[in-house]
Amino acid sequence: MIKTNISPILTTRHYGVNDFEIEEKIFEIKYSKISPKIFNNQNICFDEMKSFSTNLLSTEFDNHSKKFNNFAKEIIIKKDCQKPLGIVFDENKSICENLRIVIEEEVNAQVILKFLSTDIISHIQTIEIYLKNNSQLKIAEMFCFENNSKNFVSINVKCETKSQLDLFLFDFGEQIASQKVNIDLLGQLSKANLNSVYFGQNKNRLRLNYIANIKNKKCECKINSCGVLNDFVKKDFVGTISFDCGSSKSIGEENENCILLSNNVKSSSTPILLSKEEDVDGRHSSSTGSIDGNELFYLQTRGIDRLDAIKFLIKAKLNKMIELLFDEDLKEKILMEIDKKIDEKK
Amino acid sequence: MKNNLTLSKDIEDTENFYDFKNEDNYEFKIQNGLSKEIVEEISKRKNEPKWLLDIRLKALETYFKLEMPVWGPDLSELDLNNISTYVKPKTDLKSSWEDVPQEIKNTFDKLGIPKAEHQYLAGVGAQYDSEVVYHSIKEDMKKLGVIYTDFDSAVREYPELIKKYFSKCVPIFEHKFIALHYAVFSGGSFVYVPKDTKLEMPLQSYYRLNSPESGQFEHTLIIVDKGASLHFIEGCSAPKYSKVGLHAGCVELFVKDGANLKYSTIENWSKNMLNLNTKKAIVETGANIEWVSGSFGSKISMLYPMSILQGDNSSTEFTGITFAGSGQNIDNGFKVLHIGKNTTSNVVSKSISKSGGVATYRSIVNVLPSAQNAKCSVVCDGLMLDSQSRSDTIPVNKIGNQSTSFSHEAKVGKISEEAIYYLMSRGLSEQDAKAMIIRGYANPVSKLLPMEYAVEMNRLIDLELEGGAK
Repeated sequence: MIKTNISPILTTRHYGVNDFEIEEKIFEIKYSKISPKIFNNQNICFDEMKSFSTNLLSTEFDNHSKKFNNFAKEIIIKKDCQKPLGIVFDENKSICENLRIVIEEEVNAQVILKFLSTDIISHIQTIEIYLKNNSQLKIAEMFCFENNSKNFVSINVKCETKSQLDLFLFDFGEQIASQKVNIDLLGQLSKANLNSVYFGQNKNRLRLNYIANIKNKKCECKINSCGVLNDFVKKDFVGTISFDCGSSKSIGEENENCILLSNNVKSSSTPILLSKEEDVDGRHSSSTGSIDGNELFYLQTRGIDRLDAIKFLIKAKLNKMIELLFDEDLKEKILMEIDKKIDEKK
Repeated sequence: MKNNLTLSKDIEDTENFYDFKNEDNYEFKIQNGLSKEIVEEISKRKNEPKWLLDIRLKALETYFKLEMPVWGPDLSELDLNNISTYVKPKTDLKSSWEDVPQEIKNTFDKLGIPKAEHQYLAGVGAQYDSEVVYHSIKEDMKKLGVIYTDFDSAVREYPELIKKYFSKCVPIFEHKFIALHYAVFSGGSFVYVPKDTKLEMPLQSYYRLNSPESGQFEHTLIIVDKGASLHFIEGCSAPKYSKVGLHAGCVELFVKDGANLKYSTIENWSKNMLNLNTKKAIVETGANIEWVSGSFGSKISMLYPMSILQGDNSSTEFTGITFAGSGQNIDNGFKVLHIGKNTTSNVVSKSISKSGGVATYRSIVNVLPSAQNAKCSVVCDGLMLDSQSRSDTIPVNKIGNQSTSFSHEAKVGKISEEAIYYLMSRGLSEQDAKAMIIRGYANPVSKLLPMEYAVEMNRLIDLELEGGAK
């Protein structure tokens, strides 16, 4: 077993939140050639990578991603996107992708990455994102893998002056899902919003590790995470907002909400706030519980079927983030996927 | 009452109020370091039964096996080869202040202990270096069957009780410094409150470490029997020396069915002390424990009181404030384990950091699958008074069943400029305005203390704001 996805701040090992252990055989996967579908890529450069992006999960993941990737591209967006750039991976093959996305100055861009499979596959993702001065990027990723698949995501973002990132992650449950997102707000007035929705069921293991380092003045960062856990899922959420020296007048906010649908789930949440700067506003909140019995009863008294009422209440909780999505088609797909997940457990 | 809105002259004059030293005039001081011979010597001097020596030696073995923590403050300057683990003062245990040697009595007079005993306490224990020098309890408490004695006496007089409970709440292998504690523990108190006995006045133990380059390892064991209630207050201080001192005490609390225990601590160790204390309570059916904690001292502190809500319908509250000033790294927090059904925990923790101090809140809320219908709420706030300081919160929350309702919130930031401006526009100086706002910030803690301790806590806050208690 190897330790991966290590928390930025260690605490006593008895709590079991410092890292995420996985079997080394994940690296024995063989990858075949893949040809994802690419949409709306006019005026966008897709270059071969001169140097690979670095995977944050562990040294083993990094070495593997650089050596065995079957899709490696440097995507440079120099003009505003009229429509979102779409990349769809749906060939039922294991994927090891290594990407670098660069948004040039003053450019507004949108990117959607979809991962779909009906077979058991393995996915290792390494992305580095660079937002130059005054640029904006809205990027959404949707992971709909077969239940017994494995999904490892590493995203490293650097935001320069007045740039803005909106990152959406939708994970609909795999046997193992491990995400590590690191956002560095390097320039003044830069902003980042990370919205994460997750579904866990069966015996899924889920590790979400989101880090925001605020390094300059008047920056803003929000991390919102909301999910549903069922069956025997084990979930660890670690969210870190770090105000470095020089980050005066910055705002950092972190919210994690988790809905439990089973008595056998294990939900762990570690919202961390680190501050070396006095003149900041940092806050976090975390809540965990089941669906409100009173609300459920109320809907049923209005003639709504119990399962539909549960769907309704779950979607209401998740809707805060779904409605922020920039693509209507993606919103619909996500809502359909939520319905499908809940129906599976009828 | 003193006007606490301005720093009064007597506070300015007694800038180093706690920093007075007596000559290091002991009857016996064990050699520095840690070894089997040292542990055996301590046990021999106390004339302990074999079973207790066996625990000490087992703990020593465990200490050498366990590793230093890889998280939290840097403890590399802790070198037991520079610390004496046992210092016996030139007196035995007394039950009257008149019999306590003058120098030691003067120490506790300065700290206000005899006066407090006379005015509003049901009993007092006073420890000087490694031994309890004074212990007494009011007659009417004794008649009720309340036992409040020093730990050595308890071992002799109530061996069955001690054997039943000692090290059962905090096991010797829990971490490296509790193993150290069990190897060299000395002093401390034993309290037993019989069934349905409710003490109206608190009991207090005060710990004073005078000897340089030494440690204090007191053991407190409290049993509050079914339906009983107790308020126990703990205070501590030491003069400042250039070399590091160590406090690795242990508090074991047993709160039986339907009982209530309030455990209040005002910690003001000197700024050369490493405070690695362990406190834990086991709370049974329908019982409640309330922790009230003010931490102002120590160079490094790692203190995480813990409540184990074992019984159904048991509950715990924790209200604490931490002040980290120049040169301090205070890593404190709280731990709660929900086991029984319908258990409740409420945590309110506040920290203030100033002049380069580091204040860390570190906690765990762990709700087991068996803890159906648990309710937990955690609020932790950090106030930074300048940009040289640091404030971190690292709360871990583990929920193991669907019926739990859990919420956690935290904030970090500075004093509101609008609030300062408002108070200044009412005629207060900027310094007084800040002091007032900070006392308001600390109010959730001070209002839970007896008035005299609340005043003392406010005085400590004023001293810290002035940079007085260095």
